Amino acid sequence: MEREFQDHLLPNGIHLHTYSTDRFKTVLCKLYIHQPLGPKAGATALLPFVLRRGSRAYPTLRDIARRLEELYGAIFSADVVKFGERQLIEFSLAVPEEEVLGVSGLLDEALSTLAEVICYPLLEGDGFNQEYFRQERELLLRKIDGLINDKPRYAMQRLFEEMCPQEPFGIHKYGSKEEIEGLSAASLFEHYQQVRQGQSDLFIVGNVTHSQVEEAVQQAFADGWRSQEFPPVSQGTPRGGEEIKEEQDVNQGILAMGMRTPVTYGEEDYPALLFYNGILGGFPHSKLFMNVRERASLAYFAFSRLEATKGVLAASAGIDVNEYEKARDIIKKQVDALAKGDISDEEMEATRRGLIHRQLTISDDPGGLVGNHLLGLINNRIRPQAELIDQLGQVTREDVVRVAQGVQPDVTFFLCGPREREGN
Amino acid sequence: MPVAIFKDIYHQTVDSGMDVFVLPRKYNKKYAVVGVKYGSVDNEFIVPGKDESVVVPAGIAHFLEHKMFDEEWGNAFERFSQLGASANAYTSYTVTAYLFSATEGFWESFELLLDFVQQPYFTPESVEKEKGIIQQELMMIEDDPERKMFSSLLQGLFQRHPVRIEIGGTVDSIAKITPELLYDCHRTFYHPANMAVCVVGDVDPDEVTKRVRQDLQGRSYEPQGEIRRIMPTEPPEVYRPQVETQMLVSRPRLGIGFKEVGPPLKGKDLLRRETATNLLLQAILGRSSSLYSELYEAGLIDDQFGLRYYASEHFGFTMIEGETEAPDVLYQRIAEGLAKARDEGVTLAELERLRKKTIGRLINAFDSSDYVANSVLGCHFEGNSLGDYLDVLQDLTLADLEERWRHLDPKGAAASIIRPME
Repeated sequence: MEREFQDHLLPNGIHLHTYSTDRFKTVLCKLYIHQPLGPKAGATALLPFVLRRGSRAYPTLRDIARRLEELYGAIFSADVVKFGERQLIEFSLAVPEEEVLGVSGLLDEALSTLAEVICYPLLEGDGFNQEYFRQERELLLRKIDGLINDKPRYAMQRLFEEMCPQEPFGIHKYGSKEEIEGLSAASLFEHYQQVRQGQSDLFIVGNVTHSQVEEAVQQAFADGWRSQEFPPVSQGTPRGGEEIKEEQDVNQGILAMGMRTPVTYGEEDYPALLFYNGILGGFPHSKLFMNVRERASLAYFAFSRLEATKGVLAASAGIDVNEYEKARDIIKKQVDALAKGDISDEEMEATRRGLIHRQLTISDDPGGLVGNHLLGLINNRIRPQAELIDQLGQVTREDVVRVAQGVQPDVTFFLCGPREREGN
Repeated sequence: MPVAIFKDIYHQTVDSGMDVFVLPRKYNKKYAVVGVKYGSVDNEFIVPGKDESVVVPAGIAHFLEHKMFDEEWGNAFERFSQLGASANAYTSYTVTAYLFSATEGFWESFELLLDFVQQPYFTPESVEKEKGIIQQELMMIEDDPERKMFSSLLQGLFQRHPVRIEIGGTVDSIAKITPELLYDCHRTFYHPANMAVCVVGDVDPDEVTKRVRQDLQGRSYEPQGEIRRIMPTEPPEVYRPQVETQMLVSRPRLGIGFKEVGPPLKGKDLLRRETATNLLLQAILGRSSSLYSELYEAGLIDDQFGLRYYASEHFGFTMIEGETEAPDVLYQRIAEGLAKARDEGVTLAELERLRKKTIGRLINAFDSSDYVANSVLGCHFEGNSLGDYLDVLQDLTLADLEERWRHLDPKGAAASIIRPME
């Protein structure tokens, strides 16, 4: 097995993490800037979109696009992501490996382009370029309005909002419209200057050596980044299976059942928690898929999703709008079965193989490697792949039941349609 | 250009005509896919040895894909999961594919893959039950504005070609599916000569071929004549120049389509057409074009705005689409922008930059085993290869791009608009 990430704090304040491997023909660079998820979430979310519009050296969208095409179609993206109660600005840039193309200097140029966009924005007066600010704010507001267009994801977000009205986790990664509407090009720039003094992690995965990129990163990126401490995730009170329905004119109803887990990523029982989610709804052999879809033919999709940084789990299924009670009861029955220890040897072993398979495939995907290491950094618990695989090999049914018995029901959310209303 | 990465793909045709492709690489994950040259457009065909054509219900290829996992001994999808492998399947317009990835016990899963795609087992009960699941899948598409826009656009663009029908069919068409019909389709299309397998990962190519051979030896396939697929002649005119749908969405969505009116093409010729069209689209409306910047700055498009040309032997179409506040204005501006771009032409510098970009993107995609394996099969069924793609890309001239303006003729265009419900 290859070496894990090499971590190093650079003089400019950036935490550099490199993963050296010759398996990929692309070099992936990802920079994250950490912020607590909170009342400024909207401003933080708007930043990457304004920054990628133009910089000092590449003042227009078209200049940046041409620059990226010159760099052999470097794939560039900017967005925000959310892990637990942390919001992170994410910049990503992928360029072909120099050897494959027989060129040199490509990675250095890519890094300086990335740094240019992040550190040297196009300014106007005492703030960002007014036009860019105005346009991007409008687009972000529309993006928030557009969350309703993806029903399964919308139901999931509504569930988290209902579960966590007082906890930062309930805030969407794009923040609220009210907050964003109140921003100006100047106030956003002020926020940018504060964010620019935050914690930043740069990951580079590919056929590179740590020492080779260290200098390029130090040269390209401006100073001023600082390491930060973040508060632990907040504790909420589970709402005991309280049902909340929202009616829309949909063809398919979406059920999302929320639960709180007694264990999070950083804790000893995390491998057992992975088993819990796997047996419940993480695989095709899982209880949800087998019972909601295969046996009862109620749904096309039925799965559970774990957010281990926060310690919440959601079971979700897309069902006929008239089948809510039936689907809910089947899902509840599966959750109860786990708590009672009704787990077969086959379920245990299939889940073990599936979880180990997922861990192993992470190293075949540069983005997966980065995500995994970032998750460890956020949770203050690096879990080397070999260690986690070894632990997955040792989890017993008793471990899973111990976790299952601590799982508490929270809100059950149902996005229902008008047919359901007629039925009542 | 020293990019030879796609030239190292191993290829052999074994008994009964099955094609085997292998790309060895040092990943933990081993990825295998079996493809059948049979998709949603193959709704009318003449069974080898017969005289008359058969017409089957729309959506049957996709229904068959779902039902293939049922075996007399249980469910193959679940079995993969038990073996620690992660399986999946998909049906496109022209291909049905079954795949899995595994990090341990690869050969056991590989044998299962080869076996279950050749072992149909349908009962009236299991077929009836599947209708409920597929109905939910079709409902999900009905609620998805992007997919709804896409299927409406194809219905507007094409008059007769079955590409205009949703891959999964309709609630009414799948209601007509019976075990007998499924067996007929399986017998006709799931013959080794109409199938191919591709493995990407840390495996020995000879071992893969050996296993495929061993599997086929145990089954008594008769050599199969040509399956004649009946494709209706598609007139150059569109069916409806504009299709509108109201949905529960926050903002409108516009899709503009152009129908391919050139003759059916195969192999490198098809690849040249596809690549030239895609590069021309990029030059006119890609991120680095002036038209893209204008539309973005006018607030008419966002970063999800997309362009693509879909190419197959018997049909092709361009799709330009995105969410917008003002679909009618956007349609107008794109039409004007296309006319202007046609007058101005593409420069050699632009072509070179886009060539560079496309090569880079191909190298990036190469890192994904899933992409490589599925593209190898997709290319194979259209009579070309990924290596050909690089050749074509390097040989492409401005004249190739110029020729493609014929395809982007406003007369062959249709629009699909999704508007928010009032």
